[in-house]
Amino acid sequence: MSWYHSTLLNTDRRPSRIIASCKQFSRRVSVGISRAVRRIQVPDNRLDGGQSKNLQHPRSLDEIVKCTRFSKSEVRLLYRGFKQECPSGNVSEERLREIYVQIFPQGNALRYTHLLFSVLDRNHKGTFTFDDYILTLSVLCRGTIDEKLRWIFRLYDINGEGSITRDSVAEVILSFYDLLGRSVQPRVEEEDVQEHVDRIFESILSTSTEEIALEDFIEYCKHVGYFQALPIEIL
Amino acid sequence: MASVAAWLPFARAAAIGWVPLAKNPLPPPPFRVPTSGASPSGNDRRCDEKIIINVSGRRFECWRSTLEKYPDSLLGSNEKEFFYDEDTREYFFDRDPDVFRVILNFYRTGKLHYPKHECIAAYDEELAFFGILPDIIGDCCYEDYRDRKRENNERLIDDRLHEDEDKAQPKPQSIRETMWRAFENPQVSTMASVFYYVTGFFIAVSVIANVLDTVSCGTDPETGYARTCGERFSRQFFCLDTACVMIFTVEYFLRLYAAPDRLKFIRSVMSVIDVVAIMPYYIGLFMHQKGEVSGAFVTLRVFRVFRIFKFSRHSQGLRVLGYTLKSCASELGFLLFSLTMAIIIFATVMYYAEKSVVHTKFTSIPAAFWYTIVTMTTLGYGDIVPKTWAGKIVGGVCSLSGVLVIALPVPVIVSNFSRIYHQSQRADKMKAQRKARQTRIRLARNATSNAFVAAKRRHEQYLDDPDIPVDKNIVNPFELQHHHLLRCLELTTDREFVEMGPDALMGGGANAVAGAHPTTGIARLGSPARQFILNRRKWWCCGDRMNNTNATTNEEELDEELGDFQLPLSLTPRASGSTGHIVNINTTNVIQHRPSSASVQHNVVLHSTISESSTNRFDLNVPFDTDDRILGRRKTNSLTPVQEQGSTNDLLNDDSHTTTIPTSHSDIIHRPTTDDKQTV
Repeated sequence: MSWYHSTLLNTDRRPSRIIASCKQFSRRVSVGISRAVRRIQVPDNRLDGGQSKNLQHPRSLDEIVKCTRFSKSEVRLLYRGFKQECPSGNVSEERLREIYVQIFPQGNALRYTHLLFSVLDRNHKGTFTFDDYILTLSVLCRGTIDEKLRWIFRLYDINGEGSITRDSVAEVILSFYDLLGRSVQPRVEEEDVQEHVDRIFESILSTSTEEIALEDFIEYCKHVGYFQALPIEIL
Repeated sequence: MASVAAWLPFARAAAIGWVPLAKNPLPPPPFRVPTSGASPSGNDRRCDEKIIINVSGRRFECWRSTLEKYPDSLLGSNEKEFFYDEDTREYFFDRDPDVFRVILNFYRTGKLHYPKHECIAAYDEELAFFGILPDIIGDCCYEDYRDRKRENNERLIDDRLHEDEDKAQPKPQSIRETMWRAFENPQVSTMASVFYYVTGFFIAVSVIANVLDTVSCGTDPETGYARTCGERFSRQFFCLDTACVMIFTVEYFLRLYAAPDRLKFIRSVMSVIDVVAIMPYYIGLFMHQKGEVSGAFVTLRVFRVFRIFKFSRHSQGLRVLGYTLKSCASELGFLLFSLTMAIIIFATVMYYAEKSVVHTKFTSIPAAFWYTIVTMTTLGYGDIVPKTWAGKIVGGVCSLSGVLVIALPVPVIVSNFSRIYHQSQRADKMKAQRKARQTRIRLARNATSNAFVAAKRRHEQYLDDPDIPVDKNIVNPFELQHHHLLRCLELTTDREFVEMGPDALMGGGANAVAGAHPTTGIARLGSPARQFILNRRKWWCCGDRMNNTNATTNEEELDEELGDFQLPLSLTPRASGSTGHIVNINTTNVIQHRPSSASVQHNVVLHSTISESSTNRFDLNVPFDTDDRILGRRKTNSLTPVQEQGSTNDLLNDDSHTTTIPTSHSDIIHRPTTDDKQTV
């Protein structure tokens, strides 16, 4: 009875809600009957949303201050912002992706957030918590060059092997270009990306093996000297 | 977006991962100049300070950064500094704290909710005050908000329409209009109600006659068969019918004549019903004369029953029912469609199930329709029943499904009916209350403006005579300035403010009285209690005087003028005494004793502030009243103090010369105080 649906639901009147509720009731009745026939118990926790089980509490303030290079008030400030955004204390990869989509509206943040997330989620739980967040921030903002470079190395090391392969570099660079999006000048072509990958890889690679080790990476970056110009002041 | 702001620092921190692979060196971050020392405005982000917002006594506290999430609203921008209270170091808003709670929650959570118990107008006002657009109301509350807003707007539009209707209904010009109004609203006049009830009565009579026409009334003496009353009393019934039809015809033609748009009237439903109600009679007359087909004639009498629909003009409930059915057309359509489908299905199945039975009543599928309909509506006459097992099962399923299918659209129709009925009820109620409401509103408006004028006057009294005990609490600085402003306006336009009576409001204000009639304002004064008078001092203003030449040529009015100016701020006296106002006569007597120099003084003073160009007008060496020549000269120097000070107080104090007037008029002339300092 599609014409009925279309005529009734198109009219902006309250009775349509009654019809809708009648339909919902009949649907529920039929589902109930089918369940009774099949004798299946459907767990009813969908309404719950599973909120109570996944609440995450961070470590105490003092511990965090000890582990990171932030002061108490800074940690407080950061936590307040974090808690406001995620009341449950857990940030999933999807949530991170949504955030990055807002920050980079023209691009596709899928790859990049996947990379970021795998670095953030150190315990591979599927979500990262405030502890991870603040430790990462501490490293990135207040850490030494070595620490930062180590973090970057971990970011590039997709497979967690302890060394960067050409594929890893390709993946990372692709994620940057994805983040960029389509509407850029000049246009992004496959060859450009590949050429970029090759160039970087060749310049970092010191030995003849196909992988880059941590030390090489640190050497290269220190020589390149880009790091001096990037103090991140977030507070 | 709040979340972007919250996560941006992290994104920037993580961007360090781009550095090794970057093709070009990355630019340095925007470097914020560090503020030396603690800046109180909160630029120093290290300590995010708490802000206290005091809304009508309820204190809300939040971080400054919470508010700065939405910089284009009042709280997020510098606009809130206007509400900062230095002493208590908080921001004070004199608004509704309940709604503010919702608004502050918006800053905190990013979602604006609409509390269902709030009035939509109040809520909108608060949002507008705090600079928040209602478009960002969250999905959870948006529908509700929009529904209520729409209802409110409809109601306002409705009100306005009806107000316009009421106001813009001029007296009916012609007989046609009177008649049409009488037909549409029977309450308008007695004739209309009489007509209404008479037609209603005749409709009832006609319908009852129709019904009784067919009751059996005993046997026919000739043929021995039972006879209906219609046959027995055929002449009486015929007369009754004729009378009714005549009334209906007359009514129809009267309506047709009175209708403003005849074509539209002819096409309307009621008109069609009228026509169908009376046509059978005429057709019957015509055919009776011809003496032909009496079978068709009998059939036509069936249409007489349509007269009962004429009752819908008389009954609002019937109209509401009709309107409901019209508006529920789709639900009814669904009902019909589904019933038809079900009938066909079940009838077919029943037919084939019962085909094998001998002497079955299910002779064909259409024959089974009757069974299906009777079963689905749970009537179950029993004239046609299945005999086989299969038939009975099918019959059972048929009746069950019938119950369901019919029960579904019924609540929809019922709720539609109830909504329309309540709407019409509300419209009627509002119509009845509208007059009372508007009068109430007008009186309230009057009261406030009258109170204000009274307060102003009292304040001026107080300034004249500090001895008069006055409640100091009444006068506050804003009121003073408001009074002064009004006073300036008065002097600019050479008018004075007057307390308005209810009739004055109807007339559009008592201030602007046209014509050279200086006493028209007085006509409004019923009692000495009215202390202000309307006084159109047209003759003071040179321009007006010239314009007035055509009007004020006759002796009487000249007398008026001369007499008037002597006592401008009181009831203008009639030297000729032609008005017959008792109050006027009294003052006339008084005036002759009184030095009119005071009035000269006063008027001159007042006029001087208006236009310096018309100096000849108040050349004090040539006073208007010859008696006052000396006094006039003496008063020349009084101009200067006025011009020097130029304040309201001085102007008011100049009116003090009216002290010699006896106290019976002291309340008429509102400045009875002496002030000799001006005379020297």
